[in-house]
Parts: sequence; C-alpha cells; structure tokens
Amino acid sequence: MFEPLIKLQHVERSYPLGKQQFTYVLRDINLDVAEGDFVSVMGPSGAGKSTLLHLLGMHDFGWTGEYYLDETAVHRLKPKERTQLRNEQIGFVFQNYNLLDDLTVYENLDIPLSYRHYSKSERSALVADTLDRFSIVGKKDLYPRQLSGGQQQLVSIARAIIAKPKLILADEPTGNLHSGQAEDIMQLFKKLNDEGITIIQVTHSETNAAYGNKVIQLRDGWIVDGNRGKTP
Amino acid sequence: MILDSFTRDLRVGVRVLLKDKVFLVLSVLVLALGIGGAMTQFTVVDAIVLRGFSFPHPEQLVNVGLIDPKASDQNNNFGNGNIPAAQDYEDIKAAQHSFAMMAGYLNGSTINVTYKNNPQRYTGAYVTDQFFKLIGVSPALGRDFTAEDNKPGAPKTAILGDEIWRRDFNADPNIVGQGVTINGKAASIIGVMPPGFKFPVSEELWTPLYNEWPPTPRGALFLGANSRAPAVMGRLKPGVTLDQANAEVIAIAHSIAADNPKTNQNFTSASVMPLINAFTGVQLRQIVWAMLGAVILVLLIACVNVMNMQFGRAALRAKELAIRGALGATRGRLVRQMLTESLVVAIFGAVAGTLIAYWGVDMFDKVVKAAPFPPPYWWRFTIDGRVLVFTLAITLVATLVSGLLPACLSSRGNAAEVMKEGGRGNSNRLVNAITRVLVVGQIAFTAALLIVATLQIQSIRNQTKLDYGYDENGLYAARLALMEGTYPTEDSRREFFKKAVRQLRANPQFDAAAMTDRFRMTFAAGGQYEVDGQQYQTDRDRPRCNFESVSDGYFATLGLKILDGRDFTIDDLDSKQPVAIVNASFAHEHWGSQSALGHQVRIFNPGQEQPWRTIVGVVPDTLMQGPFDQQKDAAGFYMPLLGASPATQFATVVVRPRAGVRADTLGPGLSKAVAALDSNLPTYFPGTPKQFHNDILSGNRVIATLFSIFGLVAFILSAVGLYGVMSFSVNQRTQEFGIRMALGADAARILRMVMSQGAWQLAIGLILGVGGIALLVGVVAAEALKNILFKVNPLDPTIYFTVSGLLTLVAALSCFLPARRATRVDPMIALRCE
Repeated sequence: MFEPLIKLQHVERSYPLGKQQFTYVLRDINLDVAEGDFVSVMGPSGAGKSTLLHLLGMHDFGWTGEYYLDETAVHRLKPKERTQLRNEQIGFVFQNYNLLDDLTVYENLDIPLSYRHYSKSERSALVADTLDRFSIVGKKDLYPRQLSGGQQQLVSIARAIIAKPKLILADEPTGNLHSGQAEDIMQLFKKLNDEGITIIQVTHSETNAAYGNKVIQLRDGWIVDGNRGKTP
Repeated sequence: MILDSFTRDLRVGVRVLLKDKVFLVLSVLVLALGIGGAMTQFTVVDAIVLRGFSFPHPEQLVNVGLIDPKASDQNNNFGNGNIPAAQDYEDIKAAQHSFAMMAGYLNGSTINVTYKNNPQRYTGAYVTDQFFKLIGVSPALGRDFTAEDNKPGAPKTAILGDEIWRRDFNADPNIVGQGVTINGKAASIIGVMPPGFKFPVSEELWTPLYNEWPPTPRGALFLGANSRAPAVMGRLKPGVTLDQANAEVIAIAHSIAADNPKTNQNFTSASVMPLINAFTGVQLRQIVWAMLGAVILVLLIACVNVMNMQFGRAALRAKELAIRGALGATRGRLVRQMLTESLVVAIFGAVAGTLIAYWGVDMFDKVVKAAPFPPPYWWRFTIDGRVLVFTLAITLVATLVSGLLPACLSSRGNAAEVMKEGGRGNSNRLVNAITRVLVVGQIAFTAALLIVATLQIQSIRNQTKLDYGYDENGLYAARLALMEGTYPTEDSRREFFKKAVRQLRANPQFDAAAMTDRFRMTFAAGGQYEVDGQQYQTDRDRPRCNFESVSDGYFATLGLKILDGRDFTIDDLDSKQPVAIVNASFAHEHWGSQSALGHQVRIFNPGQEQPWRTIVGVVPDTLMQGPFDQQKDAAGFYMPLLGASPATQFATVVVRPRAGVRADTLGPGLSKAVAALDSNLPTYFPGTPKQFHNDILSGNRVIATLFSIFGLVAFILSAVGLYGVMSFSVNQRTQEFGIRMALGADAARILRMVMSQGAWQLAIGLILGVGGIALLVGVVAAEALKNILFKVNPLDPTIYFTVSGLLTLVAALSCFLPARRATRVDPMIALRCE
C-alpha cells in the first residue's frame, strides 16, 4: 500500500477574536494527495483556499492537527526543519508572480538554488538548463518589469521547479493573465504534472480545474466535496 | 560559499540601494556626520591620551613628585606632585634604586640668545645632563650634555632645536662649537636635535640646569616665574613596576620629611606616574574623553535615525522578504541580506565620514597650533592606523545598530499574510513601538547634549565677559627677562627696572608706565599668608590668596584709584620697611568696615620666614588670576616690585597710550624704548591684556565650539528622526485616517491625533534627557564640573527651559508637517490604499 504524498488529519486553523473566542478559517480538514496528483482547490472568497495552500507550503505555523508530507510528520518538526523540508520538496507559483523586481530573470531563477547550498557551477548549469527548457534564454538579463504578465508567470513557474521539487503549490496562477496566456500556463502545468510533479492549485476557474485530476471544494473552512475527480 | 553569497548580497544590495536614492543619500549623510565626528574626536583622543611618546620603551618613562596627602589636588599639582627644591630631587635620585636614570628640568622657560648681534628670546628648557639620554634621543649634530656641562661655573653650553637652527642659524652645518650669548653669558652650541623634536612640550633650545641655576637650599622662596624647583622625570629599570617605584619614592619622601621637618614635613607621600600624564592633566583627559562620549552619542543618534529609516524600508520591502522566504531563504539568510545592505550604507557613510574627519582634523590642528600656548609637539593630530581601526569598528557597530533590529524584526513577518494580494506588509505594533521608543531616546540624548553644550557656551561667555576691574583694551604690555649674565646682581636688576619705568614715563608715546610680575597680565602668584593678630594651629590653617609685585604707578596706569592710604613709592624697600597694599576684598575679609592701614601681612613660607609687611594702601579688586578662579575669592595683596628683596628677574612692563591712541598700536614703540635701554634685551609676549585673555581662553573656546557643533548636529538629526518617524507613521495609517474621515472625523481631530502622538514622545524624551542630565551634572559629576564650568550653575533652570522649549518647537514642526498631510487624505483614495 502506497502512502500518499500529502496526508492531512483533523487540521484546523483559527485566529483569536477575543478572550476564549476564535474564528475558524479551516475546520477538521482531512485530505490525502497522492504523488502525481494535480489537485484544484476551489471555493468562494473566504473559504480558506489560500490558507490551506500556505499551510501546505509551511508558511503558516499556527494550525493544529496532523500533516504528513512524503511520510514526514510536519506537525512534529521544528520551524528550521520545516524550512529545510519545504526547500527540498516544494515550489511556489503565485497569482501576482512575486518575482523580485530588483533581480534579473537569471538572478530570479538563481535565488532558490542559492538558498539550497548548490555550488556556483551547479547553479549556473541548472539556471542555463531551465532558461533553455522554458525558452527564455533571450530574456535572462531583463528585469521583471520588462516582461509581460505571461512571461513573468513563466519565469515564476521556472523558478518554482528549478530546485526539482516533488510538489508545486500554485495560488491562482492565471488570475492576472488573459485567456490565451492562461491556457499556455495551464498547458505547462499539465506538462510538468505529466513529468511526475504533484501540483496543487487554488483556482476559481472550472476550465483550469479541468486540467487536474482532482477537485477539492472548500466552504467556510470545511471541505464540502473532496472526492470529485478522476484517477490520473 | 559564504563569500559567494556575500558577494551576491553585496551586488544586489548596492543595486537596491541605488534604486532608493533618497534613503541612500540621507542615511549616508547622517552616518557620515556621526562617523566623521567620532573619527575626528578619536584622532584628538589618540593624539592626547593614547599615542603617547615615540621614544624607546615609553612605558618606562615616569614623572616623579612629592605629595602632601592633606593638600588639595590642585596644590599637589593635580596628582603629579611637586619637587619643592632641587635638593629634594638630588636626595631622591641618590636614595632610589627603581630608576635607571633620572633628570630634572625647568620647561617653558625663557632663554635669551644673542647670535651675531641679534638678540632672540626662545622658549627653552633648563635640563640636567641625563635629560636626553633618559628619553633615548640623541642630537643629530654634535654631542649631548655631560655631567661636567651641568656643573655651576662650567663653560656654558646649549643644544638647538632643528627648527630654530634652520630658521635663525641658517642651518649652518658648522654651528657646533660656535659662540653665542645665552642669558648674557658667553656660551657655545654643542649640538642640534633631530628634526621635529621639541621636548618636553614645545621647547626649542636646551641648556644645563645647574650651570644656569645652581641648586638652591631647601626653603628658599621664589615666586611665580622665578621658581627654580625642577620637574623630575625618570626611566624605570626594566621589570620595575609603577607600584614598586611609588612604594620606594614614598619611603624616601618619609625619610626626607623626617630629616627636614621645617621644609618637608607635609610632603610625606609621593607620586610616580606615567610621564605623559604630567603633560595631559586629569582635567584635559576627562574633557577629551567626555567629548568622545558626546560624539559617540551623536553617532548613536545618527544610527537610530538610519534604523528608523530601515524600519520604514523594511515595511515597504516586506513582500520581497516574504517571497525570498517562500523561495527557501532562512531567517538568518534574510537578516544577512539586510545587514549586507546596512553594511553598504555604513561603508559609504564611513568613506564620506573619513573625508569629513580629514577636514575636521586639519581644522582642529590649525586652530590648536595657532593657539598662543602651543600644544606639546608630540600631539600629532593625524589619522593613523589606530584611528582607521577605530573607524572600522564604529562602522561595524553602526551597521549592527542601524540594521540588526530592523532586519530581525522584518524577517520574521508572516509570509502567507504578506504575500496575499493586498497584504500591507509587516509593519506591526512592535515595530511602531520600537521606532517610537527610539525617537524618545533621540530626544533624550539630544536634550542632554544641548544642555551640556549650552552650559559650556555659558561658561566661556562668562569667562569672556568678565570685568577685570580695569580697561583691558586700554593698556599694552610685554615681558622682560633680566638674566644673570647681563644683570648678575639684585641691585643691577632693580636699577634696570627703575630706569626702565623712568624712561618709559618720559617717553611721549606713553601716558603712563609701570611694572608688574604678573605673567601676561593674567597670572599672579599665590599661596598661603598670615595676618597679624591671627593664631594658626597648623600650617594648613593659613588662608590662601593672590600676590603680585608691582612698581609705583601701577594702579594709576591701570586706571585704579587708591581707596585708602597711598601707592608704593620708589623708596619702599623691603630692606628698610616692608610694605604691602591690599585689595578691597582682602581688607573687607579681615577688617570689615575698619581700615586695613597699619595692619601687617606676610607670605607664609615655612622654609624661610618672610618679613611682616605693613599695609599702606587699599585698592579696588582686579582679577589677579585672569579668567580663572583658582583662589576661593578675589582677595590678594601687592608688594613693591622695585624695592623687592630678592629682586625679580622677570617682569611685565605695562604702558598706557596718550589720549586718542589705540593701545594695540604701542608694540613697536615699546620694543624700541626697551631696546634703547638694552639693545640685547628682547621683549616677548607683547599685547593688550584683552588679547592675552582671549589667547588664554582659546582652548576653552575650541571645546565650547566643538560641543556646540555636536549639540547642533544631534539637534538636526533628532528633528529629522522625529519627522521621519511621524511621516512613516502617517503613511502607515493613511487608510485608518481615510476610514475615520469617512466616518465623520474632521481635520482638527486627525491633526490632534497625530500631534498628540508626537507630544507624548517629546514629553517622555524631555523628562528622561533633562532629568538625566540634571542628575548627572547636579549630583554625579558636580565636583568635576566645578573645574570645567566657570561661574555657571549646572542646574540653571533658564538653560533647561530654553533647551526644552527649543526642542518642543522643532518637535512640533516635525510632527505638524506629517499631521497636516494626514488631514488632507482623500477618504476614497485612502480606502483603496494598499
């Protein structure tokens, strides 16, 4: 029996409102994501989609419950160990790209590697490969402001996968793109998923969700439909 | 790996900073002011306190003096001790085993030299034969002194300083062996010292001590400039500690006191201390360290300003930091990145600060060297390796102080929150609280610095606006020294002075002329005295006052009217009927409203009893110690100079111009008149009393000016800091103001809100700063300040209120501008503000 890549059990996230009072953003989340899944998290605004994504990405530490990533009990890890695990396993793609404005395309790609103790020559080789793979060699010395939205998101995805993560977390990756660019980006995600990378995206778009094999519906912090989907 | 990431951080840091030019320029300027000031002042500390002598093993060089344990610090020569007579030096030297060598010297002395019929007065030193050997410096030309040269009656010899050899002796390579006249006696030049050598202070000519002034017996009284008691220095034997040497010399002092109770009974202790301390007194060392403290405070204020700016930037860069965190950067890595940027700013600041320091040090050097009392030649105000190491250290400190806290706090932001679309960064309550505390600290420090600066300015103002009791601009004075070669007997000196006064009075250029022994019309002698009818239990019960020997007509020349009795006459001879004139304070102190005339007074000198002097007159007070306050009050008495026994060798001639002529134009006429009396007699230290007093106060003015600059810089930095924090706070709260205004708050309410925040910070800062400094100057350092502040109440409420008012005004303005901006917020725009 294969263990899922991600396993959440009774995960909850709340914020204090006052004395002994809390508001819950995520309630009793139980979720399995198998390696190679392409999961879309959907739901109305305030349902807890982004919170769930950042919880999975270990940006948020204030939750309760159990979280296993690749059989590692994340809930038992110290912050430093979580950072290390995140660096090894996870890449991020954001709706607003979140490229660093003061770095060139090349340097933006180099950044995750530089935080992971790659040697200089290894970094150069990986960045060159990635630029080539995403056909952005000609843009390597440009700054983000000199790129279109679609190109920026392309760089953002390239940056997410450059350190060879098992899992990509994408927060509305096409939210700021027009439909043509959005389709290109989703095709790219599909291709990466086909290559074996697990993807979890937050999206409002049924069209984008259709690229994945599983949809999780959140409402008021609860999973209201976690089994809709198809076997990859 | 670390170097690689540092290089990358550096490259990105420079790029990010160049993009934020306003921050870069402001922070570099602010740090440059702080670092430049600290560097300049450290250069001064380095020159005066740290660098010391460049002689071999300078740590072995010590000053030796006898101490009266019950006397004041001032009377013990500020801890250096005294050598009351040359015989004391000889006895210590004979009995001791701690020193490899000892030497006695009289420095800052007048030495008259005539070379090729050209008389010149030099500042020189009378030294014993081991003086140069002891410090380990040999003449560059010729030979050193020998024990034979030092003996009374031996052929007179002299060693020239390099500068005067080049200037006045045409750098004659054959100068050694040439004849000159020194103090009226034939002498030969035996050597020339190496270039730049002037020792122990700024002396340029050296001649053997005992050859000029044979050792005098214990107890002989020599007032003021006539003193023959040498200062003593020694070189400790290798391995001998200061404690051991002190213990030995104290034992010797006991023994001398036991053998010579009449003269030495009070000198039962001794002091052996590093030689450098004898030339940089405790007070000077305290002042230069205090000034370094003040500039470090300014630097800290500068760092706090940059820190506040960094907090502002960190809030704006929260998203970038969150992204970096999401991409794998650890918190430590983020802190390192931000610290690298702070380092870049600090380095730019240090480079600009170094330029400021070069300029500041150059200015300081020029001011100090132009002073009438030149500093020791070994004070070299230059930026050397030690100063650069200090700069490196303060640059790193500035980096950490200005950057660490913002880096640590901003790197701990909640990435998930920040990266959400519309997240407004991580400017949290803690950061706001810290920036406010920092501004409170800035206000407190600035208030403290401004108060200290104002006290200093008040002190110097008091000194420069003193009423000396006569018109300082209405007289002209110059100094004369009658040396034994030309004037070997007391009679010859008395006759010269009488003749000089007579001839000067006959000179149509002068309305009046007189003589005094007061040095540069500033420093009279002083000491203990006795009044008839008073009983004194111990030596220490005798009071102290100022003494001055003056010729007849002196008071009239100064424009003073005799209040009671009469002036001196040329018939007032100590050998016939010793007389004295007292000043009003003296008369009032001892006899109240009754006449002082007929009472008797005498100088107390246990070694040689002085004659009782009958008081024949009372004159108005003048400041007999110039702009200094060394005695407890203005009381003093005068003795007849022309009839004095023994006759003085040094005197100041004072002349008053005819009506309508300015006193400061009398210089050439006075020199010519003296030259007509003795063509080989140079006059020196010429000028009006006003000029003398200004000269003497120039050092204090430099200190007051520097404190004012420190205070002003701190003041500007604090205003900028307060403005920056308020401005940042208003920017952060734009949306809140929009909401409040949308809900009905009017402009006045918003203005009040912002201003009250500033008012709280100001109030707390003022309470801490003003209260803290009041505690410091009024209680903790009250005693030390008595020596530094001249007739200033360290707790003068006017000063405290003025400084508080000034800071309040500037703080109000600093808050008002951002507050007004807050009132102009458009609610619609503010509510969309991210």
